[in-house]
Amino acid sequence: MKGEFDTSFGWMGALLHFADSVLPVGAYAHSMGLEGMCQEGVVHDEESLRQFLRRDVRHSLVEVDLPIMARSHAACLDGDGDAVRRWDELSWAMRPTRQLRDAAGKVGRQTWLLYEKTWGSGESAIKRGWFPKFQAPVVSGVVFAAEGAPLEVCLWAGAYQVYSALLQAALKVLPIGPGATQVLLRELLSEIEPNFPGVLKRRDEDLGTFNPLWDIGASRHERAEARMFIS
Amino acid sequence: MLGSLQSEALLSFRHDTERDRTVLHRRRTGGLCHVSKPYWDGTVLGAQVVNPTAGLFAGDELRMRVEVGDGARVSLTSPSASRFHAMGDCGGWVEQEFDVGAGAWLEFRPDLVIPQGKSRVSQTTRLTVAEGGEVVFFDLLAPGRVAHGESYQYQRYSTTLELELGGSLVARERMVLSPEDGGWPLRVPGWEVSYYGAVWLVGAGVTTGEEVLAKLERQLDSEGVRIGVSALTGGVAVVRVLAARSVLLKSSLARVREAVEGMFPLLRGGRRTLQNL
Repeated sequence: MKGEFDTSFGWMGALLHFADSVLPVGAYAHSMGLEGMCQEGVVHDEESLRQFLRRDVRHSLVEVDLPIMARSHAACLDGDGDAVRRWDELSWAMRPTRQLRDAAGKVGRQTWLLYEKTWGSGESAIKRGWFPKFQAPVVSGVVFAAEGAPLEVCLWAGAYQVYSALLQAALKVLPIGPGATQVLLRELLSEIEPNFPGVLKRRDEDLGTFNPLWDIGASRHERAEARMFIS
Repeated sequence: MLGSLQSEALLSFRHDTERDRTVLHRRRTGGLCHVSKPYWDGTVLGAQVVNPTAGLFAGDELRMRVEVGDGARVSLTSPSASRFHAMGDCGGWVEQEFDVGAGAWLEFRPDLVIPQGKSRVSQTTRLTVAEGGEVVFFDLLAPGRVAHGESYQYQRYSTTLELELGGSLVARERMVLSPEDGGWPLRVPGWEVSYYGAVWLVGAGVTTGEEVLAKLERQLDSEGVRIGVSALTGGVAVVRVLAARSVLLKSSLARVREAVEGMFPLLRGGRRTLQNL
C-alpha cells in the first residue's frame, strides 16, 4: 500500500448508516402494499413476488421515488428549501392511498429525527420545515446530498432501501427463505441500474404512477380484519 | 394534420342570485365537443357533453374547460363512450380542466373511454376545487373493443389526473399503457380483460362518511369485481374498481353513486339529468 489515504469517500459513513435495512425508522412495520397484494392473492409465492418486484415496484421506483429523490438531492445542494418542500408535497400527492402516504411520511420523519441526532447534529442549513410531509425519498435525497454522497450513489441507495424493505416484509408473509430473498435482491439491483439515466432525464410532467390492483390491495389492507403490517 | 380537428370548449356555469339557480352563462363549443341544452331540475343544472365525431382520430386535439362558479350546481354526463380510433404516428390529445368554486357542486359522469386498436392518445385531467366545493368525479376505462375481440391493442394511451383542493395538490396519478406490457397494470390474474373505474369524492361529507365507504368496499367485492376505497386526506377519497366485464363496472359504479348520496345529497338531484329522464 502506497500513498495517501483517499478521504473523498467521507460520505460513505452516513450512506452505510442510513441505507441500512435495520435503521430504526419503523420500516419493518410497513410492507408498502405487499401484504395487501398477498391478501388479494396476486403475490403468493417466490415467482409472483419476483414479478411484482421486477415490474410493479421497479416501475414505481423509476417513475416516482428515484426521480423525486434525485430532485431533492439537487435542491439540497442548491440550498433551495422551497424546491425541497415542493418535491415533498408532490411525492405525497403521488402516493395512491392514505396508508401508503402515511407510511412514507412516518419512515421519512423517523429518518430525519435520527439524522438530526447523528450526522446532522451540528449547524446545518437544512431545516425541518423543508419537509411538510416528510416523504421518505425526499428526506433520504436531502440527507445523502447534505453528507456529500454523489447523486448516482444516492439512486443506488434509494433502490436498495425499497427493495430491501419489501424483501424483509416478504419473509414474514410469504413462503420464501432468506437465501432466496438475497438472490432476488441481487437480480433486482442489477436490473435497476440501466434505468438510472432515464430517471435523471424524466420530465416533471411525466412523474407519477398508477397501478389499480396494487392501489386496491393497499386500500383494502387499511380495513383488513387481520394484518401483520401497518401498510 | 389534414382533416383533423382542434377544438377548444368552454362551459362556464354560475349561480344566478336573482333567480336562485345555476345558469350556463358562457359556452364555446363545436368540433369535437358539443353540449346539450341544460336542464334545471330545481336543485342541479344537468347537461350532456357530446362528441359528435364518433371519437378521436389522428391529429385530433380537444381542450375542454368547465368552470363551476361559487355556489353553482352542475351535473355533466355523456351519452356514449369516448372512442379513440386507429392512428398512425400522429396521435390525439385531450386536455380537460374542471374548476369548481367555493360552495359549488359538480358531478361529472362520462361514459367509458375506449382506446381502440392502434390508437395513440395522451389525456390530461386537472380538477381544481376551492375550499368548500364539492365534487363527485367518475373516470372509466375499457381495455378496447372487447366485443370485437380487440383488447389492449392500442399503440399508447397515457392518462394523467391531478386534483387540487384549496390551492394544494392532493393527488396526482399517471398511467402509460402500451401493448408491450400486455395490459399491465390493468390486468387481474384469472380475468380475460379488466375494466377500470374510479370515483373521486371531494367534500366535507367524505370525512364523516368513511364507514359508508368501508361498507361499500365489503358489499361490492365479488368474483368479477375488485374494489378499494381510500380517504386520501381530509375531504378527499377515491373509490377504485376493477371489473371483469363492462356491465359489472357500470353496475358497481352505480351502486357507489347510490351509496354516497348520503354524503352528497345533490346526487339525488343529478339523477334527473336528461340521460335519466
